[in-house]
Amino acid sequence: MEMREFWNGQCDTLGQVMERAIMASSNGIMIVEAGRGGLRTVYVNPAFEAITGYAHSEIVGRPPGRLHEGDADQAALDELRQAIAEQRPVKVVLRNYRKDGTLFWNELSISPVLDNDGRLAHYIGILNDISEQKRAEQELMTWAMRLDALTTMSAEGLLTFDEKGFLSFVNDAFLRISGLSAAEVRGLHAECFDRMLAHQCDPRFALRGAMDDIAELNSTGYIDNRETEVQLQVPQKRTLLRQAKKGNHGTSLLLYFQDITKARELEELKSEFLATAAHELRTPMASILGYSELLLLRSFDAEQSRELLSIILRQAQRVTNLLNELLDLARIEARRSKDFDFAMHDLRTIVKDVTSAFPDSSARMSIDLPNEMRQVNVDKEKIHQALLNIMSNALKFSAPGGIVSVAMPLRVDKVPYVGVTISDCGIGMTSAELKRLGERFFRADKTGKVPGTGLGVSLAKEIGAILGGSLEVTSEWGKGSSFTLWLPLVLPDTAGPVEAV
Amino acid sequence: MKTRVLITDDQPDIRKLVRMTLDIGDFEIYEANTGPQALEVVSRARPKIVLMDIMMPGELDGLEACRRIKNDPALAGTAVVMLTARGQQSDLLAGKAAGADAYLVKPFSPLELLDLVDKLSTKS
Repeated sequence: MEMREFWNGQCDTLGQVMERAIMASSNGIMIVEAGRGGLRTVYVNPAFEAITGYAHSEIVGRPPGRLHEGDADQAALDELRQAIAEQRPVKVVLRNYRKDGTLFWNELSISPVLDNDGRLAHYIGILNDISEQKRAEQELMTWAMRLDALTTMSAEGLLTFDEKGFLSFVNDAFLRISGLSAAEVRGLHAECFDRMLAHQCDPRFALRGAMDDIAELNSTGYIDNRETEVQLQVPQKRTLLRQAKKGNHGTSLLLYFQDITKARELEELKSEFLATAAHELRTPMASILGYSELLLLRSFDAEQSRELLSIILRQAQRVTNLLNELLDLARIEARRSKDFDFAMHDLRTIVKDVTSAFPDSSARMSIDLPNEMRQVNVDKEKIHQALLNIMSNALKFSAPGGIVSVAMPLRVDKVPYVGVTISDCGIGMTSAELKRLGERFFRADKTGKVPGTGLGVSLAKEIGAILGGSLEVTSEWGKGSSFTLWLPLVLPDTAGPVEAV
Repeated sequence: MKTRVLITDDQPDIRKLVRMTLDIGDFEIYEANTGPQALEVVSRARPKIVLMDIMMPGELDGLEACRRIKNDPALAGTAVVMLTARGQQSDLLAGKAAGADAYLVKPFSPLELLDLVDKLSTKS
């Protein structure tokens, strides 16, 4: 056989094999000629036809580009043109359309073929239909976004550890609660994480670690799911409820942290309130019962008897007031405004009544009432109660000899309001205490020196709100406080009959 | 010799009630209205029995005053009775832990008080 024949023979065999490969490939293959007249497709393989739905004859002989007809505005196309112009290979992902108009995602690889003179002769294009892959990617992204939203919005701290015990996920809530940063925590082994968290907690309390849960998992195969508490000190004093759960699919452990600080505080306050209420009621009862029993057991002269009986009466009144306060609060809790008896009143009258309810202290009061009528549509008794509470507080918390001043300012906030301002020069409140004022059972006095249940301000606030007004408080620690109960002012024209001053 | 009894309570009506209750017996009544005052009277008059209200204003409350009396060897033999309007379990335990000999929850009957004081005065 001659050399050429042999070579041709070899080439033929190779050619046949290569042709076989092209025919059998599941990737679309197209060959584009780069002639003087521009680009022209000269060959497409069966896979190309199968992917695009176009027959060989519909594509060959024309310039390439049919596949993205109508959707020419793609960044990938620019990239493709650039690469072609620069005669270099490129791989892009394009939106392409089948003959029937359906979209498919084409991962297109272009390779230039140069002739012997180094000029561009052909392009080889390899098409890969990655529609399935794209769909899976998008679904994954949607799920990832949903999960992200859930875990970001979640107020509960969430952590996960993988099967090797390394922290695989942490949400914003946990970072916020713990004060740790994602960088500090990500990828940590459970042991290191436990140490880091323990560092921020109150050492006096036992802390269950992730390692404890992992150990339990390893030995029993499941987790008790019991709830334990975490007493955080840094960055803030917080009580967290911790729950561990067994994970799956590569996650061995999930930890949930719920901030129950507020709930605990409320429980604490309620408990304190009950104890204080009990104390406040029992103390006068001790006098009532004690003196009654003495009067019955022994004989006293008329004067002594009177004295003891008046003590009993006084204490009985004290109990009654307290019970009324408690009942009022309970009723107002239910916000049953039907209990409220609205009528037009001159607020000045009510204020005068309140100030004269403290005869012993009148010397310490400075009262400044306007000359004009200040009409309000209120339940007289309830307002009386609210102002009485505020006044009582002002006197209680005042230093001996201090002055309590009363004024009736006006203001406009869409509608006109009249206020009753009671100011004292007492112990005042810190800004922290001020923020908590009006909380159900909160008392500014911790020493127990000042009697009271802490309901007075709460009541006043509720009453004010139901009457369409509000309670405004300013205070400076060590200097004194100022309480203003604002009520909607009824202007004279709109009024009905009003009681005389 | 009359048995000395100290009543410590910030409420004057309560102090008067106790005084009147114990007035028939062989008791000499002393009064105090704060913790520090109680300790002062105790060291001065050496009462055999101290009736102490738990909740009193100021830093030195009844429990602390009780503790100091009980831990002072010079005051050995002084009986301390805690009086309180709070009847919670925690308060009773706190009283016991502070060394109190007895506990009375307000409101209490004058007879109950007399009985207790009688018992404690005969104890050595």
